[in-house]
Amino acid sequence: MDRFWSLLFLAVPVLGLLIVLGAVFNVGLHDAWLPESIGPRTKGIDYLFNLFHIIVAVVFVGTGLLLAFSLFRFRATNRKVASYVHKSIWLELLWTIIPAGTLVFLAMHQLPYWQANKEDHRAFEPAGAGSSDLETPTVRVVAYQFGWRFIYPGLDGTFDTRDDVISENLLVLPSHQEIVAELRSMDVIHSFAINKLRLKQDIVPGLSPRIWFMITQNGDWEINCMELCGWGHFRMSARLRTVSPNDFEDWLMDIVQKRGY
Amino acid sequence: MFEKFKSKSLAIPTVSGWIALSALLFVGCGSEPQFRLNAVHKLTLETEFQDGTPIPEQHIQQVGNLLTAFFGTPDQPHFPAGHESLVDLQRLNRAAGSVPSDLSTGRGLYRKHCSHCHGITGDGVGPTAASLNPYPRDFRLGKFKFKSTKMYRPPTDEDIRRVLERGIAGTAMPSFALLPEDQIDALVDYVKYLSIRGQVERALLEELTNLEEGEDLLPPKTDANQEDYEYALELVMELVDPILNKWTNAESKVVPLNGLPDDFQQRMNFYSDAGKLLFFGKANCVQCHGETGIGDGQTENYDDWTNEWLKRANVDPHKREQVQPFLEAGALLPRKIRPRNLRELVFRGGSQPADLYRRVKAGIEGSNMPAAPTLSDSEVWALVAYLIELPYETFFSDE
Amino acid sequence: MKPAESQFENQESSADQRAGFLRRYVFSIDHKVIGLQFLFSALIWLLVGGALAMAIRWQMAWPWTRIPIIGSWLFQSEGGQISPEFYTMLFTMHGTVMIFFVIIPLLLGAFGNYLIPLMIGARDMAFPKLNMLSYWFMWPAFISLLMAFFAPGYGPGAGWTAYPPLATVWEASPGSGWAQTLWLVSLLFVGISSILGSINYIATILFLRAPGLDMFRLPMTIWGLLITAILQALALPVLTVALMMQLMDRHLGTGFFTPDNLIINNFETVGTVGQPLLWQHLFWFYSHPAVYIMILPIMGMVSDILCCFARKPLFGYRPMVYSMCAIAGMGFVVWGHHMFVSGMHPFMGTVFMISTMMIALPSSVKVFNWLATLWGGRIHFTTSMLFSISFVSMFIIGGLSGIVMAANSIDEFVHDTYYIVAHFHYVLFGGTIMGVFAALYFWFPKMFGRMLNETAGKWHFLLTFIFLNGTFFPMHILGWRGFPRRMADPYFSGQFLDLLPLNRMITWCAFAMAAAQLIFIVNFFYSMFWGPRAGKNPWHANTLEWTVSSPPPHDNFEQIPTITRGPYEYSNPEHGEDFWLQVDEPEGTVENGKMSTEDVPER
Repeated sequence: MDRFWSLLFLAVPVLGLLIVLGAVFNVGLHDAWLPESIGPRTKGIDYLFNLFHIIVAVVFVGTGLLLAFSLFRFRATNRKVASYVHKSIWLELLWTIIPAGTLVFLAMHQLPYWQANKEDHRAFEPAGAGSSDLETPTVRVVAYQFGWRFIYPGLDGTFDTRDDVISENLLVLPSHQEIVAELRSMDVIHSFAINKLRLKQDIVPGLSPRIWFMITQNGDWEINCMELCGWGHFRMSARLRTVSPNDFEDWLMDIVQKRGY
Repeated sequence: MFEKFKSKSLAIPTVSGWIALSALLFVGCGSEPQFRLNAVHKLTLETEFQDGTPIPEQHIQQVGNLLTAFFGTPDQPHFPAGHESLVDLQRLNRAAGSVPSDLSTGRGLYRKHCSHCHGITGDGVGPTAASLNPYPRDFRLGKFKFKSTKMYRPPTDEDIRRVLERGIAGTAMPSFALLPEDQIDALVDYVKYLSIRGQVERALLEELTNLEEGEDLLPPKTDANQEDYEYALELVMELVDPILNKWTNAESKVVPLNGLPDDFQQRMNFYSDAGKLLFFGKANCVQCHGETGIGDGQTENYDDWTNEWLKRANVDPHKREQVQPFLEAGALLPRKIRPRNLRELVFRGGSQPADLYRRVKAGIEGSNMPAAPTLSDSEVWALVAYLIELPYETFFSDE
Repeated sequence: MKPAESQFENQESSADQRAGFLRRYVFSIDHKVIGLQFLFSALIWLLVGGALAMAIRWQMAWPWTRIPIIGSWLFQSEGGQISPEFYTMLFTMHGTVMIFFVIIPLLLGAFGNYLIPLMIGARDMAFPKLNMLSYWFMWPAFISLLMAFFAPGYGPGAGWTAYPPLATVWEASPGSGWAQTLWLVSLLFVGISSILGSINYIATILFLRAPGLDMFRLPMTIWGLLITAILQALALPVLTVALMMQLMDRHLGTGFFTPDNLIINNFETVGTVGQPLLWQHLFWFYSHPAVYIMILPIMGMVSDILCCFARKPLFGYRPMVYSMCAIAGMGFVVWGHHMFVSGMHPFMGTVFMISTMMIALPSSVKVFNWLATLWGGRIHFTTSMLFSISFVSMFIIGGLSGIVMAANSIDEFVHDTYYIVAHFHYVLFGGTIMGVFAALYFWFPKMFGRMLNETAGKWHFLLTFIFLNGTFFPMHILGWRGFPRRMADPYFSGQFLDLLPLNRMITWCAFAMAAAQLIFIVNFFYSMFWGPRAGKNPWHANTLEWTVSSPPPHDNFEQIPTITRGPYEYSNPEHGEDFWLQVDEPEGTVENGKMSTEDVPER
């Protein structure tokens, strides 16, 4: 029986690794790795995701094998007496310094990506700072229970004027252009998330965080609310449509025309 | 080394426990849901016409049988013969029924997306309904607020589809724009179906109060009373047909967009100023919507869905003991409605000039927003211009 | 000072022994009775929480279909399908029940109470009456949470995190009315109970240790409980205050968390200039340390159990203690990793990312020390040992996915997806609950004087272990596909429809896992009355609780023992047997015969 139990614990790293490899290389498990990417923003995040998983997988398999091996090797049926060992300062140092180095490396290594996604942009606005010298966002996103309102500044390029263009639950954006979006909430906390951009930003009422991204494909995608916002949270999704910049202008003009201007 | 602690095998109690547990899963699987009787309307009629004497149970039974004959059940919808053009039975079948476990869209769309608010019967009292403000729509009155047709006329298919696709901002009605076209089509037809069924039910219930002592709405069919039966059926059809015909003719009752000034777009400010005068003057919008347009004028009214029983049964909404029987029958606690805040950027029935024109011209059925027969077309357009301008106007006080 | 105090308390509890049934078994001030009271309440709530989880899984696998039992009971007229706010109640209550009513009472209330005096050689807790009060403060909590189930809206629906304004504004969701208030009241009582308990544990461990038992001779269990108690005493007041503030926001019209001019469900908030982020900070300032509160005691217990069944001293006792302290200390400065995407300043994100990365270090030190403890041992695969090993194995998975999520760029992607769900279930179920089972199988003989059935126990372990992984491992895949948590119908928009088969598989595994717990229930109650008698020291362990009879007498020790060595003297070549009790007992009292290397090896 002891052998069986050792093998059971051996199955954890082996099967775990096989499942993940199957997902990554599309063997046996189809479409089980990261969702497709529709913009350059995902590049860094996917790279980090893969890197972290490689490192983690090495540790996972290593410790798992070690555990299973010691269970097998040192099972009671196999040994008369256990060794009387209390400590080893060198081992302790070894397994403190190596993980510490790895963790510090990981932390430092991923810093630039966070910075690129969150800070290195002229639209960045620390909470509470004045917003006068910021550029005008491409679109203002207003979240409410349970839907999305997208407000474009219209022809005059400023918000809160009569020619603002309002679109409910449909966000049309030009592709291949950097989009700056300002997020607002009318009621509770929502979260603006585009899965295929690996983008997520909570919208706390009272704050107006900004996000920026670029989409390099034309097509229809989904925007989901990813923060619990009430009973209808699950249906708070909107369509994101990217079109060529010319088509975007046309679409905008079309709405402006219909509104009667 | 720890093997000396031997005890009896526990296989038998464990396995019997498993069997008992799995049996529990099948307990009370219950029957499929049925359409609920419009008990609020029944109570209203009893209070209004019969001083509270209940309508005989057998009459209610007859109404139920007739409805089942006409419209089937939540799982097996029918539609009265001769009106197949109105709804597509295939679409009804897709929207009806329970949600299939493989999530294929073959059936069950209504229960998947709508019934937790609007209820299986379309009575607007699903499990979620009571905590929503405004309440979900009760389809059974056949009244729809945001439509292109005239007052007291059913909406067109396009109107219902539009609400489904866009949702109603400022209410809990979400947008279903992400659903495929054909699923929305199915839901549109099912909403019509529930609404028509509700209207027929109401008409039949009303008819019950006209019956003489001992008379039946539709006597049981036997060889002896063949003639009576057919006569009675004819009478019933006389009640049903007008309702169906109204829906068939909905398309022809669309409010035309008359008199759009040619220079409407160019001279927006001009029309807007004119509209502002009308807002405060002739059209008297200010009375309900308030001087700042935030809807703080007249706030003491109820909508038609509540007035339906409040007024007809003469219930004082502030007296709990009068309201209570209706709540028990399935009504929701009366809640006053506010005139629309016109500064919310978007309007519930659509924000394009054409939408606004129809709201002003034809009013909003079911609410206290009246039609505007006294305003000329160009005056209505001027008001529309002002409504477009209003959200961006700065607050003013003491005009 | 110290002896006088304990003398006084002991007289008090001796009086208890002579009292009637009610005083002895219900309103008892004996730490063992209170521990068992906590144990049974928590196990009952574990069943409730598990049932809630099953309902959640049903909805994920067969959304909007007739749900067994609940459907015909509550939603008959809707065709037996649940409503969305019922689903929000399900996961809100599942989280609340499992964290506040199961894990924390089990670890601190049940094992803490039962083991601390026994393992440190004390007759009872330092403050027995406070101890009783701490249990009875749980009852208002139980009752108000039960009432919350029956409040309008089917129960609270703001998640166990109760983020305002969803939780503070009555109109915000069906469950934001009385249900939310009752939820807050319930948690307040749990908090008070835990604060009382933790003060008691700290005082007991620091002042009532038997002579000779200095701090570095304490078993790891006691270290875990001590550090946890300190964590709780420091962090819980913050949560308690935050709960009070939310209650005041809801009932007294204050505005700590609710911003001005919101229009929620056509209700306008006026004149409350609050900040929802403040709640998140206060809440996670407690609830992140709470994660360590939920794992540290188990780490201690598992260390003891591993040593006992590997017949080998704990490898690196001091590093183990120090790493526990490090986890606890750093646990206070990592809460912001729950808020990477909340709109907090990105620089704060960087700070919390670094601290979160670094907290993985002491955890990894612990894992390596456990592995080294097993290395070179003589491993007996008892049920308790199997659960302990699986704790290590599962904790590795949970810990490693924690490192992935600590990277804030990655977290932006996996935040609020099933990756998070997989992570914390690996830590809390794969880790804590498996550890709880290990501890139950280990100390059950001490608690009830009888052994649990090993065969049934191994079946229980095998099935739980397989289906635990079948349930939670695929959730990683769901997570990196972006599958969102907390949604009544994630398939609504069609984006995740291809993940339905995987969710079904998970649900089947979850059901099987739940069914496997029946083995334990049967075993537990059968063995409590008819299991073989255990004797004083069935496992041949070293610590003090094994020197007294099972179950221990009222005041635990006839004479307060004098401790002569540390708790991990297994297989010491200087001693004839492979275990060496912490006290030198008088000749001829070691009960279960001799343990020696000539023992017939296990099959």
